[in-house]
Amino acid sequence: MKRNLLAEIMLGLGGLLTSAAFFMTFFWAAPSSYPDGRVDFAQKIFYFHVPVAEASFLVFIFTAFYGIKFLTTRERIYDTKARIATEVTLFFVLLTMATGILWTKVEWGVWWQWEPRLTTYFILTLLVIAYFVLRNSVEDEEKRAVYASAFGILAFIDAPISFFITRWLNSIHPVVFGAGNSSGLEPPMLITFIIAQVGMLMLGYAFYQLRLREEELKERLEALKIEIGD
Amino acid sequence: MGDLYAAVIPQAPYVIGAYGLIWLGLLGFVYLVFGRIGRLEKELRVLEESVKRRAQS
Amino acid sequence: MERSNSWRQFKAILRKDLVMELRTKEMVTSMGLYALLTMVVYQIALAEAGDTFDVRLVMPGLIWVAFIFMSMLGLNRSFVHEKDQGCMDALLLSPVDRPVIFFAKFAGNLLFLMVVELLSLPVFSFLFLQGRAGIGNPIWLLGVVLLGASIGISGVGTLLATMTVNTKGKDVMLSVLFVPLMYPLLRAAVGATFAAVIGGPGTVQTFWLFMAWVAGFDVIMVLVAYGLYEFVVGV
Repeated sequence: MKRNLLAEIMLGLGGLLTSAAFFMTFFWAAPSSYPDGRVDFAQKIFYFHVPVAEASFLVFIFTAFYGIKFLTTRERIYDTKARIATEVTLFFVLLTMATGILWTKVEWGVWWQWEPRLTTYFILTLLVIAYFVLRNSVEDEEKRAVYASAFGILAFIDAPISFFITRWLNSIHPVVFGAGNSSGLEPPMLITFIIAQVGMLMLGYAFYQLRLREEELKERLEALKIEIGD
Repeated sequence: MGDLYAAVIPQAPYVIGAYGLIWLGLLGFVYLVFGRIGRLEKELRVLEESVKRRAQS
Repeated sequence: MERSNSWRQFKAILRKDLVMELRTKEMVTSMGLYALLTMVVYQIALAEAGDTFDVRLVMPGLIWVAFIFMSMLGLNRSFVHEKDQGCMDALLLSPVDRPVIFFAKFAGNLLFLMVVELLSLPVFSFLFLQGRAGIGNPIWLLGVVLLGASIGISGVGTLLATMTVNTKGKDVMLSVLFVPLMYPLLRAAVGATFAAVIGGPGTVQTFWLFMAWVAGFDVIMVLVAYGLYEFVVGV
């Protein structure tokens, strides 16, 4: 029962790092300012919005990865893993959306704008939700697993395409990293961000493992119940 | 300093809202999953014991 | 030998679909009627826009909305038939390669979709574009977008419809999966169509830029759909 030691360590460490990043965000990282010198307080959202968004992409990789593994091996555990990965993805996607919308309201003055990055992320959200709608509408267990794996793979390929298609449509969403050679962040800001990012990824891993453990327990319980029923 | 407050106060609700949602989400997830795992483990223990008792008798 | 055998199987499945369609004319009529009904809805949508409103500005979006929903109708139909009459099961029992089934169904769906698209485009211009500014660029560019986007729609649609026909929601399920997945393709198709319709300096270049995206999507997604088909069919 103690096989999930790593998950618990990651949970603790991730919690510690994100908490630290949270305090660093408000007490250490210098406030950002607009070009005209006014303080840009809403920029503080960035320190957690971006890590959560990155986590959603990274976890989504596992949906496709375990989808492929399931299709080639037909072992049920991989389908369960893919499903849990998608669940964690959905969790992060919703957090990204919520924080993003709040940031958008402050900086752009509107809650929502059909701007390329937002549009494509919205599509990603719909794809992740569709994955679960699909699962719920198939009764046969094997069919459900196969269809979900296939759709997970398709959705994972579609998501980056959605992102790249908007690259040359002008986006007003800020590009912090990868625009020019430096991120333009001062060291305290960058360090705060990196700590938040690493912590969030650890949390993502821990969430995935915890959910997996729950599923395993559920399965064992089912098996025991059948055994007793005999 | 006055400038700082002038900028921070109107934006504060959104920042607080964003961080509130994140913490609520993260803690809520952990709380729910641990709750369910705990319940499952308890149930499993009870069942395992009854299986053992049946095997003995 | 092997190749000619697959080719024969491909032709046989495609011919079966064509013969059935020629006999019942069910797909083309229902899709065409659906397109016509969408035009009526568009009339309602544009009712208060006035005579000076340039319909060309929204035309690309309107026609692709019509085509995407029309295509789902056709895709769903084509697989409901297979399922209800046990055709799919019979096909899977026969020694036909799975990829052949995919390409045959894909070709059939593409053909029907293209036919209805090519029929409804003149109807659209007859209803909405008369007495207004016409198509800016050579008309064959529109044919290029239609073909390009329809390949992606039918390719991915064939895979998805094979799955959704076995689900509870069937057609609703198809749209839930299909529309978000088609977003990049539709976005690029609308961009290309817009460039073709508006015309003017530089639009031909924009057109081909968007078409490059359409082509990229087609290649990637059809290959993936083809790869996944083998697993999905017959579980």
